[in-house]
Amino acid sequence: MAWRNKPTATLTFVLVDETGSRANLSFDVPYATLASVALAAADALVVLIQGVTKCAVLSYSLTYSKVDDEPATPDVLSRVERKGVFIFLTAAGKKVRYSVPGITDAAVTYTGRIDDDQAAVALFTTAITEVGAVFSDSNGVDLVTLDQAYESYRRSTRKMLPGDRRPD
Amino acid sequence: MADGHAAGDDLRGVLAALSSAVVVRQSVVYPFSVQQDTNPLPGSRIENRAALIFETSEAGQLLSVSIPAIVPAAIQALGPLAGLELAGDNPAVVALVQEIINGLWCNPFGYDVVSLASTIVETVD
Repeated sequence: MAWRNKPTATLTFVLVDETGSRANLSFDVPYATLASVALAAADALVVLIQGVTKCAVLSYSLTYSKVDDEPATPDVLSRVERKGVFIFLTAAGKKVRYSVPGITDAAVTYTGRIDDDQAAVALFTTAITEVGAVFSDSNGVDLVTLDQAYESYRRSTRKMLPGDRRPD
Repeated sequence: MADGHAAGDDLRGVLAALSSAVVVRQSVVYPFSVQQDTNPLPGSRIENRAALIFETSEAGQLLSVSIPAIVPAAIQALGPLAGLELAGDNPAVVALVQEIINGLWCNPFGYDVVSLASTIVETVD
């Protein structure tokens, strides 16, 4: 397992013209650039872009990506369609839902409930909800407790079907 | 601004124990919306583009920046390349070019941008 980051982080602007058609405009910064520094530069760049385009700038995003170029072999019988659904409550009483693909057998009880006392499940919920954890809902409100956790299946797409499904 | 990278690395380890699939890629994305009311200018079309081609610190490595709906004032109006390149003395073009060269920006391989090589205008109307 060897995790490598891309050489750069990518800043992507979304622009819109009079007809409503959208276009992307991307720039790159060295990966080591702090997000706060890159975003400050992005704010300045928006003004300069507006000076040369008739489009309006709608939004921008800064993305840092890493890939594993030596990934481990997935478990036999692992299926991304088999989801572990975790629903957390926020400090404001709202709910946030995460779906973990390929949920491990050890985490699921015979009823389909996810066992919150199972070691890997407990580590995950603690990482999300503990005091000082960085995770929040889309409004920036802390996630405070696990509300529900269960197994759920999604429909297989054509690409997910086994390649050897036809009789030989 | 909290460090999402370290939190992502930690969470990846936790997820590995929770899933029989393997994590092969992770991204931290900082999204922003422009709040002030800005409307596109009349006649704007994203198909009317200008490409700015830059040289980088690595010989042979270039950077291309494609601006949609280029403003007509930025397009060269005189000489044999009228309509085909950007006006090098247009203040908005100069400001953008200087920011790309002197700012944080690099090409997708991480090579620093050092100079403007050429500009190309593509318009459909």
